[in-house]
Amino acid sequence: MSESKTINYKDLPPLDSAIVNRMSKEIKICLWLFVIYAFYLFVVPILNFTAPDFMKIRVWGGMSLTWFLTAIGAKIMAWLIAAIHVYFYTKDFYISEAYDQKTAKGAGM
Amino acid sequence: MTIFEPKYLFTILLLITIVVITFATQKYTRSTVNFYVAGRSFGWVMNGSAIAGDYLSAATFLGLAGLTFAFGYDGIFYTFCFSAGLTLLTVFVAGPLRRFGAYTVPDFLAQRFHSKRARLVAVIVVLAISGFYAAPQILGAAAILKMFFGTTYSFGVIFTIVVMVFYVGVGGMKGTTINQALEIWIRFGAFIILFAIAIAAGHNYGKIMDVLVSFKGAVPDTAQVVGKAVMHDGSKWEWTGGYLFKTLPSTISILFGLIFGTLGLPHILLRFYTNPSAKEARYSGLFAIGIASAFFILALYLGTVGRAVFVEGGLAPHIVKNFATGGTNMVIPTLAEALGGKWLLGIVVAGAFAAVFSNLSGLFIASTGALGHDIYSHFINPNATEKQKVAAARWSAVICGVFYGILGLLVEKAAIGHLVGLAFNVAASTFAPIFVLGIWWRGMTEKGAIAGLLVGLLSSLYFIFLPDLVPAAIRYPVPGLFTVPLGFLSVYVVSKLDGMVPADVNEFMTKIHSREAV
Repeated sequence: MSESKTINYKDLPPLDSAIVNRMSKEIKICLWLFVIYAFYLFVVPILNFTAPDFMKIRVWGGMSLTWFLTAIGAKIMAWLIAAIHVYFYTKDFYISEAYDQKTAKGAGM
Repeated sequence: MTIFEPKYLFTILLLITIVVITFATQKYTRSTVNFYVAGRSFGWVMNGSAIAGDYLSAATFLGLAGLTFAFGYDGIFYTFCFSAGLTLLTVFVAGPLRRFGAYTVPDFLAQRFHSKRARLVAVIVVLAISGFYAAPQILGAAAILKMFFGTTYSFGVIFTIVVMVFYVGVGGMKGTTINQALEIWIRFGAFIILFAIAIAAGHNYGKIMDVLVSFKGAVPDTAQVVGKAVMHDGSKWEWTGGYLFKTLPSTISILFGLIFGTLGLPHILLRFYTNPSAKEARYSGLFAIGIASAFFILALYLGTVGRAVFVEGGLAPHIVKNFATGGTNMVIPTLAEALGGKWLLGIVVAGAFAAVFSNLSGLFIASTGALGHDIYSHFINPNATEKQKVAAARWSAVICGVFYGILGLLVEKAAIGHLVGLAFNVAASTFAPIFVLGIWWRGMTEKGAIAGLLVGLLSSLYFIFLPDLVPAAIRYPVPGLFTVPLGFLSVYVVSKLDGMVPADVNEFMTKIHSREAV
């Protein structure tokens, strides 16, 4: 593989607007989901150390609150976050596909 | 002892199945695209199962239940972090990575920057991560063979390596994926059966937590059986900080290391290349998360049941001995024998082998690609024919086998779960920044990427292997709190200072972020 040409980042032409649009839409969803998930992930250990009495409350099946959030709640959360992301992606995918078909029909293609 | 004893019977059945699948898929390994990515032909159910099979290694099947058994809450905290990693991988990386569509992880860097240097550094990092990850898997297999089949540890290592070289060298990605998908369901089945028997025996969470939390003192029979009483302190066991994570920063550190680690595991990343589209890749990730989440919940429950059974006493002496001296890695097989006798033990032993083989084969494929595709086809013989490339892939599997075998022999006394934690830390500090920034930021430069890989790798090795040179206050079991931000910062700062990006970076971004044709 040949070493490629490089260009200064400042001189780089802008990306195609459709790609920028898609990237910004997707990264926004990703970051929102990440923030919500990170909040859950960091709050549990922080509360373990700062509010131990609260996290020791018995909630279900003899488990303390922290045991439940760590052993069971976190797994449900992991799947939910991924499922919401895939839902938005799929929705956007089909909306864009329908738009493309409509545009193609309109243009007589 | 006969061949019809369940543990032999189920293990032999598993091995026969592997051999049949491997030979049946051999014909699909005659080109590089088939050998490394199985012709990009797997749908989300098959690939999702294989991703879960790759991810849920012996560290999950044996190690996490073992860590829970030994360290209570500190053990379950490991899965808290592991479960998050796959989610972030699916959200940030899976789709774009599939659209990029190459053969190996170093391909990503090499094609992003058109750089041989970047490819070479990435190969070194792939081998380092895979080595860290493979060693404990081989340890798990050898420990099972030693404990339940009476072999020596060295024999166990050699046997496992021979099976793996055959599995990957002959079956390539196609055989490996089908085997992995089958093996995850074998393991899952073993866990479900064990779970059902434990529940039927009255070991619900309410009861076992009561037993465990209220017990303090010497575990019954341990003094007589192993010569030294094993102590249990329920309040310490149930709560955080008693064993592994003494402080909040050390707990946050493991969180960083394990969460970001999944984003950088080469054998998981390259699985997304085997889907036909980015959409299938995302669904594969989601399906794998579902399997992994259920698996983690079961592993933690079974580790807790194991501790309760051990603490309650009244067990046969050899069961007490296995619980007390089997370390953190033998809790599941011992519990299976305690609850269901030798038939359940047989199923669980086969499940444990399935876990080891499934994960190790993924690591073998990743390392084989790094040697056979990245080194041989790009550095040693760039004009290689298709036949030579496939032969190089098979020989690479043998070289990886020798390398992993030596590592396996060196880690006999280590804890599987902890070693895997360290592999995650290296991945988190090296490939995670590269993939996240490489996919979402045009400004990443070749020098920035190489700096990130080297700083992430060297800082992880420093914290892991030279702990005496690290101030005691920041000497954490998993040093992700320092090494992960260092990795990200190195990429960012060096890229900013360098400023020279590939001239075709816009085309690259367009390719990985376009909506693919249905």
